[in-house]
Amino acid sequence: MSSITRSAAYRGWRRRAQGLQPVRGPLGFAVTAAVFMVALSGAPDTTLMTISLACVYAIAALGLTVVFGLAGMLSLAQAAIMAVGGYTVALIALDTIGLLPALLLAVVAGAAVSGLSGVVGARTKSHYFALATLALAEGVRLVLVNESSVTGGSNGHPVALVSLLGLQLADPRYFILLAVPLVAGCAYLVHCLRKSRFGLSLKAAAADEYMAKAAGVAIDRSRTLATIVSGGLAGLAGALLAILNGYVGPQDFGLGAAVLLLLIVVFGGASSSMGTVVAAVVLTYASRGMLDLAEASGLVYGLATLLLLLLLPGGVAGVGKAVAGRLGGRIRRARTRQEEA
Amino acid sequence: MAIFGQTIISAVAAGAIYALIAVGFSLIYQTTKLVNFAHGSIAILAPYVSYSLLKLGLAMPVAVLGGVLAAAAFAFVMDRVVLAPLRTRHISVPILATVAVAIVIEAVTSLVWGSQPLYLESLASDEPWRISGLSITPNQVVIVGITGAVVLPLLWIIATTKVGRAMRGCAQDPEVVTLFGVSPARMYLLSFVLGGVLAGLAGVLIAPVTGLKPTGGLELSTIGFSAAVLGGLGSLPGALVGGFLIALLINMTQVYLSAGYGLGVAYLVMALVLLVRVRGLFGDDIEAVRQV
Amino acid sequence: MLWKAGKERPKEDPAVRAEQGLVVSGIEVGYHRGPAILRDLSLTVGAGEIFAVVGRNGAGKTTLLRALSGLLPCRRGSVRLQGRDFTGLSAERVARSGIAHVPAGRRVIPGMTALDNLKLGGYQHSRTALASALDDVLAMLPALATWGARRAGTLSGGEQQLLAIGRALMSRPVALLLDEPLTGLSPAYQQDVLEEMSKIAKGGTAILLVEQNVRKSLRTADRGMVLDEGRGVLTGAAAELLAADRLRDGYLGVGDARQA
Ligand SMILES: Nc1ncnc2c1ncn2[C@@H]1O[C@H](COP(=O)(O)OP(=O)(O)O)[C@@H](O)[C@H]1O
Ligand SMILES: [Mg+2]
Repeated sequence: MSSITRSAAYRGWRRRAQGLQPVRGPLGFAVTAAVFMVALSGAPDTTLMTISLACVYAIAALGLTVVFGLAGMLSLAQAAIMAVGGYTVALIALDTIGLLPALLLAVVAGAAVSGLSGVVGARTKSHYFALATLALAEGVRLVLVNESSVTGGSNGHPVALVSLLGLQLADPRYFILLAVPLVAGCAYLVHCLRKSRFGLSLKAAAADEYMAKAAGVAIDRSRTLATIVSGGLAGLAGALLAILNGYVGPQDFGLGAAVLLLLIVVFGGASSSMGTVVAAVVLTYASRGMLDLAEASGLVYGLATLLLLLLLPGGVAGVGKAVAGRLGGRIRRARTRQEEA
Repeated sequence: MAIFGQTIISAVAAGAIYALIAVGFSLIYQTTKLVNFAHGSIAILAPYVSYSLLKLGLAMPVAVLGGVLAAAAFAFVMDRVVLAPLRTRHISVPILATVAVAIVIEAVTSLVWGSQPLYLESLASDEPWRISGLSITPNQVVIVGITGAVVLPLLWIIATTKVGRAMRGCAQDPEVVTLFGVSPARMYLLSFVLGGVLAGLAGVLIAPVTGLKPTGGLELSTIGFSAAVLGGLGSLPGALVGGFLIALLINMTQVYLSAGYGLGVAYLVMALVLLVRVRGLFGDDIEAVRQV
Repeated sequence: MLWKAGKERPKEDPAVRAEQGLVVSGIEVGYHRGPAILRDLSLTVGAGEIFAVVGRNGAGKTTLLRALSGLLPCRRGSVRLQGRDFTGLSAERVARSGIAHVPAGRRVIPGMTALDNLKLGGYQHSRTALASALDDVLAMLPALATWGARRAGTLSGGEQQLLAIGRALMSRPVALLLDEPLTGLSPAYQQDVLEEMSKIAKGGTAILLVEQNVRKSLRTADRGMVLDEGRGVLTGAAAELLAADRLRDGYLGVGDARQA
């Protein structure tokens, strides 16, 4: 009885909410971003730096939600794709071609390299894709280290200073003015993808490949497209990181970063962009704290990953859902008790 | 020509070690359907433990045995503590957990033994025999001998015994095999322990050749993966052959093309196989790409 | 004397046959913490007898077999085989103690050869016992020998069904549970499977057959039960069930009658 009334009320609410649909989404993301930026205006530099990095990882992780979260394809290459974007802005003449074209170029480069893994991912099962992305990541790293005359080898490469409207982007204070709106934009983009036919086809393919194929979903195309979208966002994130640091080096894009991004997706949950962003902030903050531990950081980091996987099955979003479910159950039970009385 | 012959000889020795890694990795994959990204890291755990045992004054054979047992014990604990509780989750979760285990091992080894390379003594002499212009060391012979003595009987056991059949059946339908009295959890554990032994052996054999450093684990993993994928993921004879082929490719590249891109060839081969022929040389076509 | 070698042939006395077969009394079964699917269900399958449980989709037939083979725990009641209590044993223990389950959809291991599938069925045996079980099964189902080297995934549906039955027989079961073995087979193959079943039962094995194909299964069975929403609504000799009004109204529609 109670579930029927509840669902009727819910449907009514949905109908009213759907009238606002075209405005609600972007407006929500914009308002959140604005509130966030105002709140940050007085923060100390270290906090601003952490938030800046969180923005970078959030964008890359939002890309990864498309491949890993929606399509269930485990990619270890996302950090390497970030490197592709980062080295792109490092190696082009940033000061002459301008910021926007440079960022676009980074997006295209990231999308193209990531698309290579998509060709494998489209045809094979998940574990083969994981191996292929590992090969891609290690291959990128090898090129970066070996072609030292171009890339600077393991010493890395400097990045030209860029400013936007006269504000120096290497300063986290101004960097976030660019990064936070970009995060909001990417979050909205992924939000829309998730609701689209494309997102649905990815989810269907992840749940049951054979059924999805039988239902006429073009799995191959969807999966390749997913890696391209994801790679574009990773390229953007890598470019931003390069601009923020004024430097790129292979050590920033290793397996550790790849796992950090995967963790953000796992604990942000695949179903909400906001979850991904929140997880990015929390995990970046935590992993920055671990930098002080030097060599022990890897240990803490790896163990923390294992503990999170073992103890929080549904990620942060899952915890929210479990709490909501339990509360809902309690309310429903209370209501039936009232009705019986 | 002498360089060519010498390259082949060192490739055979390296190939034996890669084959040990690849067979162990493939064995775990064949039973659990899990890509164990910590496999190479487990391998380097063995020589690190051996190193400490040697420091304690133990004899070489005891230290080596201790290292291999430590790797197997680690694999045992990893399966019980980390992977068994994740078995009901989406396959990408346990795979991610193996990546985390690899990171933990790398951190622990560099904390305990430092990040500088360590050098272990070889099992046998590195004083070469000269045979018609080519030199072969006793150690190379020992490496190939140990690999043969361990891998060939193992392949035979897996191919012909009931436990081998049960392991193969487990990966494809864990529920149905319980109906015949097979316990999948035990098969998973067995595959991890056997994989740990093979990895540990590979570790103690390769450490004297390449030196020992915490980042070596992942490198060894990727070489092993390439070999296993080339041979056909899940095919044990394929992994054996793949190990030798990958070693040959890597050594040839290093000698004739570019020293820096030796490993790159391994990645390239893996990518090409996945693109062109997912089931590799001897893999199972039903396994790799199932049709609707 | 093909199946339980060394044991004497079951007596014709029904009480003795029941004692040597499968006795299910008052079981209640459900999934995880969900509601009970089967309630207070009892049945007896004597040695050498074919017992058919028929019912609509979702009646709980598969759930019944899963409970008997230990894949699902019984919340109440007991399962006994040859007088031994099986209640609460794990699936592996049940399999080693004389119950073989041929699951719905056959579930052969596609990447293994038919022969390896058979050998997997005899997992519990020693090497020599395995060889003799294999000989016996191949003697009983000679078709298996002809495509033994082919991979199970490449066999046709009917061939896979025979293989699944042969694989279950490899453990030399006291009781054989079959989940919808006729589904998806051509009428000729359905007949084959039913004939093999009769042969196996003659060897003294208790067979519990679960089917949607009411007419065919009851014609082959000795006794049967109609399962509806988890309860046994009608139990009796197969011939009586076939003639019962309730069954005719509820389960043997016009289409089914025409087909038969
Ligand atoms: N894994 C499961 N978890 C929960 N409920 C299940 C599960 N499998 C089956 N059921 C429920 O059990 C009931 C009986 O199913 P089943 O035994 O498969 O029926 P049948 O085999 O007679 O068609 C159905 O209502 C079904 O929804
Ligand atoms: Mg059923």
